[in-house]
Amino acid sequence: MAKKILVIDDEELIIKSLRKLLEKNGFAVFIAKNGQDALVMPEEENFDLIIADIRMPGMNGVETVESINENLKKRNLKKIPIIFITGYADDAIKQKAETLKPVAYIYKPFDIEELVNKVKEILK
Amino acid sequence: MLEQVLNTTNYYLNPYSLPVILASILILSIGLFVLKQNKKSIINIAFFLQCLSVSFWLSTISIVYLSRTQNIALFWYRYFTFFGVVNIMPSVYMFAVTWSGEFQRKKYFVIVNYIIPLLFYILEITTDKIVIPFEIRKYFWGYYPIYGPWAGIFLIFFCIQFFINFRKLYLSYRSEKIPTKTMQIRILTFATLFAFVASSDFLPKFFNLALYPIGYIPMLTYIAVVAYSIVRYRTFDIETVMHKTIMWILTFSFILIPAFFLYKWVSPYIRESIASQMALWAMSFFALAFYLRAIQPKIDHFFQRRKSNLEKISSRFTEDLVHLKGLNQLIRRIEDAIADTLYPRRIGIFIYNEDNKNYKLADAISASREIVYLEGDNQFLLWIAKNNKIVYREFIDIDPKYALIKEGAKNYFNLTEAIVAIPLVLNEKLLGIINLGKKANLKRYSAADFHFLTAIKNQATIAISNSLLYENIEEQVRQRTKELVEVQKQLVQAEKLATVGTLAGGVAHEINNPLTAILTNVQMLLAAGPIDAQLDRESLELIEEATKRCRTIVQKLMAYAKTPLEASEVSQLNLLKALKNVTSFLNYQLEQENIKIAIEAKQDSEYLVLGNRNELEQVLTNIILNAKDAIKRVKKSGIIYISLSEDSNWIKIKISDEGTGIQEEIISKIFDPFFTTKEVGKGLGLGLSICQSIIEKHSGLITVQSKVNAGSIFTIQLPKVKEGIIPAPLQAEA
Repeated sequence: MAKKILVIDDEELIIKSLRKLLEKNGFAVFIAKNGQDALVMPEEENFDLIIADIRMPGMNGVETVESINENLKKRNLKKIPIIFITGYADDAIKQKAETLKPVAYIYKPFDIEELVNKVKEILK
Repeated sequence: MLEQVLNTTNYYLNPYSLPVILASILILSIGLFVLKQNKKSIINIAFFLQCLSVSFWLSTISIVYLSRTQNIALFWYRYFTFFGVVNIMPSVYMFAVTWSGEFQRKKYFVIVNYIIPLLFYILEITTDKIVIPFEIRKYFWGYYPIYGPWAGIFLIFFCIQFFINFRKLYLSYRSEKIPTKTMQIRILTFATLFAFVASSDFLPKFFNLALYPIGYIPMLTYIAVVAYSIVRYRTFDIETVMHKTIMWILTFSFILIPAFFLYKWVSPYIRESIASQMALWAMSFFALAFYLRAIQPKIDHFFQRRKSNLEKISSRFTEDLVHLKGLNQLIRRIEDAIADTLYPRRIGIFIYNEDNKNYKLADAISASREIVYLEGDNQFLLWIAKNNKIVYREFIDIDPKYALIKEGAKNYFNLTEAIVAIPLVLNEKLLGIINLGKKANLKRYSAADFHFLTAIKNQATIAISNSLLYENIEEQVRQRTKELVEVQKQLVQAEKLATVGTLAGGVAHEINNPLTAILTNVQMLLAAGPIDAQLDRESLELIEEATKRCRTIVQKLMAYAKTPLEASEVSQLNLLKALKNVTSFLNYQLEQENIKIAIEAKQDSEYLVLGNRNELEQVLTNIILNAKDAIKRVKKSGIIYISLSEDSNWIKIKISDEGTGIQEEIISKIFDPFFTTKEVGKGLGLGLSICQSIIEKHSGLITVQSKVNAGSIFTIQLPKVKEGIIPAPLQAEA
């Protein structure tokens, strides 16, 4: 069964590109266009990985993942691994992101190999 | 006897007495003039006494000429004329002594010199031994006495006195080192010789020669020469006095001569009538009074006229100076004032040049323009700066105070072809120097001229000093303003670039997304895999869209951070467009920080203002970013409301936020340079101060209303460009 990946990003170009890339590599891709949308999804789908943008209008990526983890914790579910895709992140946000382990970073713009390898490594 | 003397019928009008009377009046006038120059100087007093005795001698001998009878003539000669005669030599001696500065030492000699002649006088009036009675003869010019044997003794004494005087003068002439004094003594020596000849005009009578006694002429010459040499070094108006006196005498004789003929004509008829004689005297009195009241003041005025003109010109000059600020104007006015009054052939004005440490010819009237610079260390200029006196070339040789600078001064005058140098000295600093050439009429510069020049000098010095200061300040202000404008331009640009820096995160993020999309899709296409036309086309579309996005961002960035060259352009611009230009760029950042901008404006309106787009955009950027910061201090997200409105004259932009607001205590300071509420390192505090200066430069107004915890409203007002009327372009440099 294909592994399920949740992509949270506000940028249509990124969403479309990631969907193509990941689906081509045999993953099932779910999309949330902002934090709020993402929060309601993990309950329905049992995601294997979350790929999130950090800087987003409204709720940022770190806050979104925090909330998702809290929800999982409430239901005694295991934390989902996270890959943050980001242009740059200031130190405060990055520090906060470190607490959400397991976590990895990929900096935009990335090579597809880098992302695909990272995803495969986490989902091994 | 006294009855006869007082009886006017015993006198007649004798024309030969007229020149004598005139000489007498002239000599007395000169004496009085010299005394007036310095009433306390013993020299002037001695000179006056000398004039007095000569005048007494001459005026009484003229009465002798007027006498009809021997008795009367003898009376006048013995009691009066002889008194004058004996007094001449002692007074000349006294004068010579005071002149050579020996009066205190030779006081007793002076007294003895007076006593001996007085003894002769007493001898004469008590014994008739000198002037032999009834030996007074009638010559064609009137009665004149024959001296008796005792007169020989008097004559010997007279000669001894003369030789003492002469020797005295000769010795002091030999020993005198000061050139002025030498010159004066030389004049005096010759004059004394004249005086001797004058006083000895009675000599021919010893030999029964009927020679007209012309002694009064050399005597007059003597007095005039001496007076001139006394006065010359203090005042130069002796010429005026001489002219004036001659004018008096001439005009007076216009009355005197007709009166004489009138008298001649009526005298046979009135000889017996006391009343007629009284009437005649009264008429004479009125004629004299008329002369003194009506004619003499006119003469005086005539000679004073030039002086009063000088005063008028000098006061007008002073008034003018108040209104002249430019140095060149001022210098031309000074030249005019001097040229119009003194008619010098040349005028040259040199002004000190601080940078080159020399004096530069500022302007010249017919003076040589070859000499343009005078060295600052010129010996004469250094000297004149210290002494601050007008220097007249004529005096350099004869006045001891120029002894040290003689050569330097001569060189200076040769170099500048001038004969008068007027220093403009303030606080021992020589600001400049005015050089005058000879007068066009070749006359000497008079005391009145120098008086005038001194007044001009003082006024000109202050005016030139002010003008130099003023020009200096003007120049400095110009320079500083230029620097400030330049610095401000740089500041605006620096602020702008700093904003770009602040916003770099937003921009990077904004570019990163399309870049990521491009890279991902390109790499997918490159990766060898089964060809899927549908998917490949989708990738290419994504790449195109992403690339276009990048292009837009780059264009906006370029538009925002213009080059400094474009930055200084002033043009008509649409304020709404400028605002949109700013917000579309700022939005990259603001969106990241959850801040929205809401613009309220009429889309059909042009909001035209005249200004520098770069600067106005900078103002908007600053205020919008400030609003963002104010909001972020109290909440996570918010809206910045911007509204544009216009009335007939103004375009108004209101930028309001619901942020922290500004405390009342600091609201008056927020436009001050370097005032900031941000923490150290977050801002220089130049933002709003630059905004204010930009808006003021655009003839606009920036104001703020604020309430703590409620928010702030910044309002910018700019003059509207009305249709068809383009306001005068703002100067990009101003």
